[in-house]
Amino acid sequence: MSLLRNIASRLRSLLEKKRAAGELDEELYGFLEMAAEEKTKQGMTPKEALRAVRLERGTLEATKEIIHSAGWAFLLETCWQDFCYGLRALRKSPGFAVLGVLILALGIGANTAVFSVVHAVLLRPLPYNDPDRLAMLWVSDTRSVGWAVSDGSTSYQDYLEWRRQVHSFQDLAVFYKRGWSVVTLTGEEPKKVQGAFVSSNFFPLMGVPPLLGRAFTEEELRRRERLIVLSYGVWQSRFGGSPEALGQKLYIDGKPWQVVGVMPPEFRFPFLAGNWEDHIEDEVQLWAPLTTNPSDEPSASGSLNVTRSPGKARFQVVGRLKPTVSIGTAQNEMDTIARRLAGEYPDSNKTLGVRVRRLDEYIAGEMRRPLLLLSLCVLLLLLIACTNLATLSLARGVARARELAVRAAIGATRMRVVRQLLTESALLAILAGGTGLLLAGPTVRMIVALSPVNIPRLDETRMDAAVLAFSFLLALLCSLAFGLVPARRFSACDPHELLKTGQQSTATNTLPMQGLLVGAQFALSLVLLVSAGLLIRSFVKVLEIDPGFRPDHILTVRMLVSDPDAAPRGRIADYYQRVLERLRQIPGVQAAGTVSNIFFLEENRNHALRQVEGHPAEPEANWTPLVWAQIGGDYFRAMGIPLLKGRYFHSLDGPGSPPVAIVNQTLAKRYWPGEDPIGKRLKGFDPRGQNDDWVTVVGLVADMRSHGLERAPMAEIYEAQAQSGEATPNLVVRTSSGPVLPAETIRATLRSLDKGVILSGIETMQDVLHEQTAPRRFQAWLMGLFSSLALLLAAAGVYGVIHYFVAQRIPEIGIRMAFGASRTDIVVLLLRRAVRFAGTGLAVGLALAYWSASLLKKMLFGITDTDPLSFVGALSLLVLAALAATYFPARRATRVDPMVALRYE
Amino acid sequence: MPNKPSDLVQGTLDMLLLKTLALEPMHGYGISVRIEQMSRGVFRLNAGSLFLAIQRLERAGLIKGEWKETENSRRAKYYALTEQGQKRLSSETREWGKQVAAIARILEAS
Repeated sequence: MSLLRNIASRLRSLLEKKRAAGELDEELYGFLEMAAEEKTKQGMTPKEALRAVRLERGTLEATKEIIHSAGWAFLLETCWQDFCYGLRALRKSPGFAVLGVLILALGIGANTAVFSVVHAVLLRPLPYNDPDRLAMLWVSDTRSVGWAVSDGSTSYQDYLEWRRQVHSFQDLAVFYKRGWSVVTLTGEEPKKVQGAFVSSNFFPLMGVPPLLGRAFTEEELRRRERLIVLSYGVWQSRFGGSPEALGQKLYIDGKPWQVVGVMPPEFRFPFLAGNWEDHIEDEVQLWAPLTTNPSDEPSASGSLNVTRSPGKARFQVVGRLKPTVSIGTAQNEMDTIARRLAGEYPDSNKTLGVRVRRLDEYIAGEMRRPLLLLSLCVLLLLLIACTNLATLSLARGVARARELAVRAAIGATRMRVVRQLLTESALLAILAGGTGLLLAGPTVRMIVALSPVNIPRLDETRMDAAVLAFSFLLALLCSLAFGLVPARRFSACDPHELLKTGQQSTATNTLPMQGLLVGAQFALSLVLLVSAGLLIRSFVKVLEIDPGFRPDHILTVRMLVSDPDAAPRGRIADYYQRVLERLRQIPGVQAAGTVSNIFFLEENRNHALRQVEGHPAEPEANWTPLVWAQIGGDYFRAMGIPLLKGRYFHSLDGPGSPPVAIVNQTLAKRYWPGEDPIGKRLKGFDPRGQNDDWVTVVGLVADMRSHGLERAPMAEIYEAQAQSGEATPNLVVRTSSGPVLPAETIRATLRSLDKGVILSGIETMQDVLHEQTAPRRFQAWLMGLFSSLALLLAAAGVYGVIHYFVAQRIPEIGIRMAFGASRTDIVVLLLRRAVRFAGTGLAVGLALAYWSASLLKKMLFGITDTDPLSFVGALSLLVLAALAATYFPARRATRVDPMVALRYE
Repeated sequence: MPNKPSDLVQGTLDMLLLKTLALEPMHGYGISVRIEQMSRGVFRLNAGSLFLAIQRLERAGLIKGEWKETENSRRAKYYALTEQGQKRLSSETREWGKQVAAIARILEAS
């Protein structure tokens, strides 16, 4: 109550300031007069009396000031004064203002940009209800080394067991992704769309209700009703966002599905996580009941493919934890369940474990480390910028020392001077924050454009309120960081001393401090430059790798026959055959082939051949990654993989002839070291053992890095598509010279043979490789950019300090030259100064960089974390920068005319 | 009269002002003279702190000002205790007594 009244009366007094001031004046004046009257009664002259009263009671003006300064109004007023004064001060030295704002804006802009990315990818909660309690569960095979975190699939039977036994989770839901070709009733060209089959409890578990319509029920799922829930994107693009979409039919792989619901735009699941085959356009757009996959044979029991065979394990499991259960507890319980299952079903589950991970961590996946690294880098950059600004402010503060001394002399308290200086730096920082935001916009776009395609949620990066708040806070923090040093320094000056001696004495005192700050900038810049050097060198090393084939002049296409599950094997083989024949007739086409998979970029499980003639079974400990690929046409010639021995497949290798295979060098070395592999016989690994025929090796080809450029080639066996009958959807076409085959030509050719074929990923091989190196390119670019900025800032810092030093020492230099110092002596004097500043910083920086490089170890390729070139390069860049930054002021110093210089004294 | 008047114990000025005004309504100068007299010159108020205290008390509604003629036919603002001020004075006096006694006990303890 009294507080309210208090505020009210203060506000009133603020409004009625004038009137109140008038009354107060009268009252005070009366007070002093009465006191003076008393004195005259005691016999003083009126003049003496007035003087006595002033001495005893304070003057009218001082009293008014005291009373005035107790109010809030006063605080606001002085802040405003400081603000105006700060603005004027900045306007008076526009060079400093512009430079300061730019330097800080660089730092703030870079931080804002990186923060908005980190915010979108790592920090923002997932668009589900209570996302902290969602987790992914998947099977891990204890045999394999480094089995992929992101894509361990689970068999349906295991899911059912988990769901029956587990107590840590409220519920578990199951889903799997699948590419579909989709047409609407209006009969558009089929388009490949990623869909997911999900269990009926999936949507309730995620806790997101459909925007329109509904999800499907358990009952409908059991009845295998072809119902579908659309993503917001498909609803917009295929149905124009009309509510009439509900109840309409969508043709998927030739069969009608009824639309029952539309999800809100922010709902995306599953997010893409580190899968190279699926690009962003392949995000899941449709959700259908788990039981409606047409390729699943409806069995009598109505349940799904319940085989335990790992080959058929294609399900992914998402769970919602009970409110009080931690992820660790859940993991422990799942471990117990896994052990129990291993005991019950030793055939299938003996080596299987279960991994549980928070959904957000699962989605962010491997992007965590690079993004955190990036955040650290920009933070360092900001630190450098702040240090730089502190040096500048110090230099400028020396020039202003006299002004501050005058202020102190006429009664400004130390607090008041500090506040004034801090207000100025805050003003600068806010200006810089604004400019930084302007810089951040393009930087974010650049980061998104440069980024590898597989960063989940990166496309959702926005400059939203959180980002704005972040950069504003950052600006204020910076203003404290760079403003406090000079403010403390100068407010502590003794005004008497300063006014007596002028600037010189204090000026020299700030040099050690400036030197320290410059040293710090060099140390931090060295850390950044070395890290950037290491990452750039790794990137270059990756680019230098021989991929094992010739990526020039190759166009790749993925062609999916519209209904792969329904089409008979022979028809697909026939289609490939006709495609290849037609392509060969196109002028300029040198070779064309098909393959099941060109690259196997995910971690591959360790395997062994089931049997190799004349060899004992391979112990599990010796297993390494091994893949089978099916090829058709002139695949090797199209890719430019040289045949080392034996022969290619030819038209006689058909379903009726004895099975043959071509192996690569790694495989040959693994099983027949030092022997000729041609004519050797082998049998496939487990899931492929449907027929027990011996496969004869007829050819040996060179290794290619199908496992990713950065991994050593793995053992590979190639089969003829005609013999294995499996789909080889990847088409590889090599043209003789000139540009690669136009995408349009290939599209038209393939369509003319099958209207319903779905084409995707029409890319040159060079682009494919480019994408594979995208994460490294991303890191190298950004680190390069940020560290060059750091270099620039460090150079500016040295320049500022030496320039300032020269300006201060002109009389001294004049005297030295008058006494016979040569120009070289002067330059050496200055260089020695610069080296002392930068050198100490570089020494400290070297130790820091050595340590930070060891943190980067895991991200390096082809070099060690003590790579001499990176260290020496970074060091010499900085030394050069220091020398260049000293050169210009030094040149100015040597032009000093002793006579002119001495006149200053 | 001592040359250097003592500083008031922190926070006691308000209480002294209330006490002074409890006797009779008075203007600013009157208050300062009265406090000086009553303290036998130990406390001397400068105009700044006096008027700050007056404003503070008036805002809190403990005293009320009114412009009047003085005996020397000069206009001055006279301050009087409000009912609330009366209550505050008696409660503060009680509290002060307690504190002084307590402090004295502490200081005398050996």
